[in-house]
Amino acid sequence: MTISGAPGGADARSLWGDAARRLRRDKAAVACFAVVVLYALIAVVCPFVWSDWADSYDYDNINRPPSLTHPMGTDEFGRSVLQKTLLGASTSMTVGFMANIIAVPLGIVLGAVAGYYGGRLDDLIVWFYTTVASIPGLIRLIAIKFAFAETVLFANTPFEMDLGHGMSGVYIALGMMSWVGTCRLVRAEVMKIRELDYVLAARAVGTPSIVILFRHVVPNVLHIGIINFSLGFVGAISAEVMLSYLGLGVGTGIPSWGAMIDAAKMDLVVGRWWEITSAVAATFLIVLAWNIVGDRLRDALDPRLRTA
Amino acid sequence: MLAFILRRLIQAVFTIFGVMLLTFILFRAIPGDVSARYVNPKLGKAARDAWMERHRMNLPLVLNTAVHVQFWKPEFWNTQFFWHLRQSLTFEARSFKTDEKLTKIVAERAKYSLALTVPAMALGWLLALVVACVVAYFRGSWFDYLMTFLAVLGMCVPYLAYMIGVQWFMFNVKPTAAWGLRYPTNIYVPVAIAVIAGVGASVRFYRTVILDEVNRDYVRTAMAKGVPLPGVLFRHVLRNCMLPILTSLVTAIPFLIIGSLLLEQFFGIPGLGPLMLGSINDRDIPIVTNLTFLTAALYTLGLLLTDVLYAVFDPRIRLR
Amino acid sequence: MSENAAILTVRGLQTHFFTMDGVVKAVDGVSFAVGRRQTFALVGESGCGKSVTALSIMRLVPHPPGRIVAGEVLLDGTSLLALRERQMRQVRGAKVSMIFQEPMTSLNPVYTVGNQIVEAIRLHQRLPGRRARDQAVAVLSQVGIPDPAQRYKEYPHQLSGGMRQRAMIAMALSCDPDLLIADEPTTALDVTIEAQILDLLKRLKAERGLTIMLITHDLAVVAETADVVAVMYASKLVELADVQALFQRPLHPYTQGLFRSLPRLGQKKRRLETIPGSVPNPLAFPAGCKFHPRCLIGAGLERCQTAEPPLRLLQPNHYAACWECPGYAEAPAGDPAAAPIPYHPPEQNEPAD
Repeated sequence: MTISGAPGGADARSLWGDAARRLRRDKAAVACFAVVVLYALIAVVCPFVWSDWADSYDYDNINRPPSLTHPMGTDEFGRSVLQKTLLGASTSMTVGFMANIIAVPLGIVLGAVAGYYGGRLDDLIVWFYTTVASIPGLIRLIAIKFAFAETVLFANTPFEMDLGHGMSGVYIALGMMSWVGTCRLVRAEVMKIRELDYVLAARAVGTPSIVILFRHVVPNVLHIGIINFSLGFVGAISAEVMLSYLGLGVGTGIPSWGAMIDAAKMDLVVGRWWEITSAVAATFLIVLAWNIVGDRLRDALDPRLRTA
Repeated sequence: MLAFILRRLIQAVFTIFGVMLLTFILFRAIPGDVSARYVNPKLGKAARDAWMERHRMNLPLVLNTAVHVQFWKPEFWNTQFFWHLRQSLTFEARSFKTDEKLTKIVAERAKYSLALTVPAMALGWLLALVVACVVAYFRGSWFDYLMTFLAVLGMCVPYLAYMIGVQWFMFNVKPTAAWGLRYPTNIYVPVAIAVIAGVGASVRFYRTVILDEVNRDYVRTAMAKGVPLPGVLFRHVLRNCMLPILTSLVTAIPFLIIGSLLLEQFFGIPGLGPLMLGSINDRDIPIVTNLTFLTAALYTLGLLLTDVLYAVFDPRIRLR
Repeated sequence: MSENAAILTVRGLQTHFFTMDGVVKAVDGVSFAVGRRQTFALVGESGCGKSVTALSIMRLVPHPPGRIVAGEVLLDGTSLLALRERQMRQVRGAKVSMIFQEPMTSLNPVYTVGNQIVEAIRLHQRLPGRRARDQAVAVLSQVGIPDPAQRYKEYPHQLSGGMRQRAMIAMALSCDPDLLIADEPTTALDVTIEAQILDLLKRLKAERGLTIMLITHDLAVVAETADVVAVMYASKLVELADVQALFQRPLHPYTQGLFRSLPRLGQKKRRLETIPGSVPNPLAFPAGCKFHPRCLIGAGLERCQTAEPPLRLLQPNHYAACWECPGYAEAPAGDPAAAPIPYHPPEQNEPAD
């Protein structure tokens, strides 16, 4: 439909500049982005402020309801639930960030290579992601945690990662299992970009295909990566909660919202509501913020992706 | 159309093979030797070897290189991988733990899973579709904004919180309904949770799908010939939305079988979900492997079915 | 047959889009009248507001963000903007029909051509299924579709581009409307098909006594089919005249520029002229005459930069909006919506009714 009078200046600016301008005007998006930044700050700062929280047992004050000294009450070891919740942000944000820092580049590279080169390579990558996608999400996650159960990477080095029990296992499993969506979208987009004039022109002057791919094609699909990064964050945070419930989470000793909500299935019955309330509220706010940020990013950067 | 279905069929075969490969790598190759869990170490190496042999864990992983490249000899194929393939396709696996046949265990437990998931899916789908249509009908109004906002809020509450909250509520109202299946009517509690927790995301998805279609040229044509809005929505738009809606429905089929893992575990329903989780804790490899394979195979077949159905419904594919 | 009866009168129409970046005045005070059995062409570059004018007449402006904020649209004396939505629905398709640029996407892909035509017929006429079907097949054959009974059963994607547009026309004409609005009906088609479709429109106009409002950016199409032409630039009409007057003596510098950019037989020019610059951003129209930054005459003149010229009646039945037109200062304002510009091409036969 040729609606005359649509803003004519849009094409004069760059995609990113235009999107940034639109997002800045969107009060909800700005507010939600502020929430995300706040959580990120909490995630970075709190572990330093309360570095000895895990050992701050106070057996005289276990399971106290909210009071002035402990605004959100105390847990079964007498530790502050407010501090626990804030420290849980660190776990959630780390899991979300690391999982997506693995998944998104993996999806972009695989999708771009499949879409650009086509042929057998495309068939292979499509087969690979169809296979991975055919196992339902939660089972995929459980399966890879199962496989990792006794795996320790870089054992006896400062970088030791206990994939079976630590936080690293959770985000690596999530990262390895959630690249499919990005890959699928990037592949479809690259197949379109491949036929555009500037790519054909670059090809005509003999630019090596790998250079075309990473200089001309990939920068034009990065917005898909950004969008999926923010929406993937939501998935990672929710998955962390579920894994904790199933006993496949970040492990005991690490403050986590999943573990806090899980613990409440025993607590609520005896009237201890504060731990689950703070954990649910914390999860709810960040998931809401990421959802809205992701949605608005998608609207601003690529209106065609709305149905995806 | 036949060529189209045939091509999808071949793709499905490759995917199912891929799943067998993936489950093999994840559950056989990476975890390695799990015999220590099932054979008392005090019985010594002989007992352990016997157990390994019985479960064919002593065979080479993929190819029997001891027989060199003599692929015509049966021993060459006598490896863990090919036993795994055979087991997957025939469902002849037996549990490490109880030595029961997989088919028997599944047959016993599937009915509980189905009793939960079939009504949950049907109700959830119906509710979401109706609400999405109404919301799309009133698009741009305060009602639309309110419902969309509620849907987003509903999506943002963790699933686990829904379960705990409703269970706690039931515990206060009617304690017997808060856990287990002592009374068959208890199934309504997890069904209700599944519907409530899922409806937000579905409404938003269907609303996007419908509104995306609303902006197409043919909708303007229909308006230009004077079709009233309900006619435009239900006759023109909905028919064109069937592909994503059908796909979302069919891709949920594996959950019918494997059950709602979390809900069954939480409410003590002896379906396939707790079986899966229990087997993971026990490292009962044949059960985990084959349940995973079963869901993936059903998912793939479900997608294949969608494509066939859609080829039947959509003239653009049917007449190609 | 009264020569001066207007079938459609648009007066002071203003349609605005309320976007995040500001209010886009897509149509800003457009007035004209369309005479019965005329072909009225609305010409302009893409983005000038001609499609929005058409959608405003149909009251199909996408809302939000678009809204008709002022003006009057009279169809046979009925004020369309005052109708209730339900009454307006009875007008659409029955009294005014519209066809669009892209026939592939404008037809619903999952229903057969016949099904979609029958839908239109049964919405406006109480006919039993069989009769509606017969009428649909008849109208398909009237628009020159060979083997209409077979095409009736086919889906849009099975037809060629030209056939699809014919099917669209058949659907638009199935309830015998008085006015057909054709929004760039041939832009998406090949040149040979374009000629066939234009011939078809001409023939239907003669046979059915149809009034056509043709929206196009193509002056060749205008020359081929139009009786009266309105030139639109940046949301306003800049010139309005019958086709002969306009082609022989265009008054507005923009119209003149459009003609200079056309190739002409017998003219030895090395290259075609273009109008310098580009269509202004509707969010930031230039002050004064909106055309002045691109104008060969008015670019440096102070009056053109500060004051916007209204449409004035420069010659009998010839309106233009330009300070620098000879005689503009003395010309009366006139009312382009008062009566249609009378025009009947000399060679055209009177339709036999």
